[in-house]
Amino acid sequence: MKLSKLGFTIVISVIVSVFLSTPVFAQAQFDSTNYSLLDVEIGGVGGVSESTNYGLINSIDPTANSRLESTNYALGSGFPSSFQAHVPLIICIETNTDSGTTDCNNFPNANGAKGECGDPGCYDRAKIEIDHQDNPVDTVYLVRLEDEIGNFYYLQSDMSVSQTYDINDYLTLCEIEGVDTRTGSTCENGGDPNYNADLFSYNIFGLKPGETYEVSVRALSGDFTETQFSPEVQVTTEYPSLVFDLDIANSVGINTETSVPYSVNLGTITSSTATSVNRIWVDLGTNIVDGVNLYAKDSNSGLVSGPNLIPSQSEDLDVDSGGDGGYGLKLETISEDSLGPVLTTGSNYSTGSSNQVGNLTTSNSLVVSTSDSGSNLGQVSGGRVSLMVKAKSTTAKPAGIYSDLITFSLLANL
Amino acid sequence: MNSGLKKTGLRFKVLGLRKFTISFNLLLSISKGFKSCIKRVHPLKTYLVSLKPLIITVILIVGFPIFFLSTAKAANDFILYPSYMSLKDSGSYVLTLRNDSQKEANLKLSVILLERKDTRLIPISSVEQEALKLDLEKFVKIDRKEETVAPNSEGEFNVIVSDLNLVPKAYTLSVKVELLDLERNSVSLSADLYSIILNSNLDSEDIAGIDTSVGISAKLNLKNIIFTDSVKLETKIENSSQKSLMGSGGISIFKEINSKLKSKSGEIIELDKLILSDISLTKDLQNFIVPGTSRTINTRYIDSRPFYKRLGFVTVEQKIKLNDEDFIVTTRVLFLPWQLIVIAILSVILLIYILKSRRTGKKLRRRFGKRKAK
Repeated sequence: MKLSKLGFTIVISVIVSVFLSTPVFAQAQFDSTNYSLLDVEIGGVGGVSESTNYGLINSIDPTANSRLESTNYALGSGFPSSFQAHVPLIICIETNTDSGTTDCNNFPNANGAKGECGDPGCYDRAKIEIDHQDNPVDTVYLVRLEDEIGNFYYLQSDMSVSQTYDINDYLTLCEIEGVDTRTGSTCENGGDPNYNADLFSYNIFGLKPGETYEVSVRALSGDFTETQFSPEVQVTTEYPSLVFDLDIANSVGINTETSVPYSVNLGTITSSTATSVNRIWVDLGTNIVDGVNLYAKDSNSGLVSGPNLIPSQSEDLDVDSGGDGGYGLKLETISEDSLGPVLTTGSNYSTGSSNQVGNLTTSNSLVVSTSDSGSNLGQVSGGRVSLMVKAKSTTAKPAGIYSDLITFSLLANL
Repeated sequence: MNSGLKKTGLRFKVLGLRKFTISFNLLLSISKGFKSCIKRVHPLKTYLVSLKPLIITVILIVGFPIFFLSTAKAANDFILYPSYMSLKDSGSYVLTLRNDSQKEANLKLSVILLERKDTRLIPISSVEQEALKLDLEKFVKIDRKEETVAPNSEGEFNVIVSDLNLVPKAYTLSVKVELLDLERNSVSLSADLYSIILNSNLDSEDIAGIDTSVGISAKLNLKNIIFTDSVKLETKIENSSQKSLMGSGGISIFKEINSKLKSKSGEIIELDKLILSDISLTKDLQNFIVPGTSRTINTRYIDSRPFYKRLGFVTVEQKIKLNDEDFIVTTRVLFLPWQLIVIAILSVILLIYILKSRRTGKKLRRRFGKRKAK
């Protein structure tokens, strides 16, 4: 009796387990007015499931593999498409944008790439931001750049570019951009260990000046999950450039633009110090990382009228220690729109008292510079410097029209 | 107290009244002028006069932005590019001057030598250049030496460079772009821009090795013992070669774990280094290091490992890539976290205390033992 009961229980159990293990497919009505589909079976959908601690990759119906592809996009189903990472997109790759044209989200100076590299933009570097397309935080990305002659370069772990790459050059969003605001990225904000604000300005180095690159990116989120490269985005680097202009205007003429010939009238020069009403305004800018130097020199080492000379000397004209008059330049204002700043370190014309001037000679003397030393930046946008021309004569000087030619030179600080 | 407060209030009132009177008079005079004007020219005067405040407001709102816009600085500059160009022994490039100004630019191009003074490049004087008796045309040829560039347009010049290796090593070649148009009545001004030509073609002699090289030396400075989690590194690269260097690099901090092991068969097995950190310095080195100059790179690295894991000797390695050749400078430092020192001192104090208390205990036991026996 007991044995028969046991046998009955086993039989029932087997039937129940067989019933439970049979796959259940969602059945739908596939009949229309004229046609009906027979043997309809809908396969399960594979993919990646995640929780905080565990991840599950599942794939049902691995035999299905129908792909639709075009140049830029592909549609895949079944294995292995079911657990491939999502193809990322490029939010921005920029070298010469400004606040009105940038698509990037994290430029610190809020004026596009020009705000970071100076006018007219970056020549050896660029900024890239990637749209992760809902790939997990630990997904790594490979950035590829193709130059004009078809050479491929890959972003390296030290943010330079090279024609070869290995697994170490697949980088997380955090490693590429310095920030990933998603939970668990360890670089959500300034307090996180991997947060790197240096990468906000630019994160691709070693590019060729004046070159157009086609840039694309692929994702990898675990073994066998690498995607194809994303649609390409074009970027062109600028050249290392110098921006320069001279203008003649009064002391409040910071925005005044004047044309050649540039001439400053000193008026009548007497035994008391004369200061020109009009100042020499110099516009300067550069995207060169090491900065620029602005020099001044003159033709005569003083003001000349035939054989007569009012010498240019570094001195306080009110004191005029030589008793022979004097002439020179004095920095009045220094400003810049962004980056820099414009520095007066080592300048011959950054003088103390109101009538103290720096001398002009036939050799170049430093007026101002920009530098990448310390927290300074060599690049500068909208630099503007004004200089006063001051002169003093003595009763011993013969009357006449005294003149001089000052030449300002701007060159890279390499 | 109260009277003081009253006074203040009164003063405010008076000032307010004055302001109001002035504003009122101003509006009155404007409105009078407006009215008389309207009377003469428009039959719908009553209607328009009633709209007067609105019209004045519109004028003010529209007028101010126009005023501000008119004073905004326009981009009226000359832009020269490339302002430096690194070439191999020979080559050519297009030099462009973009004239964004509203004025015509008369340009004169010439070849000039630059020299280095106090880490800055500076044009040599015409006297020095003449003394060198160099035919600079032999090195650089420019297709046009004078050109007028109209406002908002570009002037392009072909610059052909040859035999850069024959340029005296102390000098750097440059093309000077001179903006002309002078008036020699008083103090006249002229402007020059320079496009620098660098020869960065390193040969094997220049980069034979850091320690033995005649050209390059790199030194990594940091403290021998580091107590905190902050590591300050100073790397100095001196370029005493006659070529410009283009560099990139990174710093690795690693522990050597039994770098060599002998297997049973007597074979020596090299074990990998455990790299604790790899810091990129590319940003700091992405510039030329011109001949005769040095560059110091300061890096601060935070070792975020727990302090007990930091204890021990660590090798700091500076890897520098100069013109695609790798150089490695290493230095060995002792990490001695201050937390461990504090723990050690506290342990010693505790040990002394325990030992002392044991001795005291023993003494007491002996004493009491003797008393009991008595």
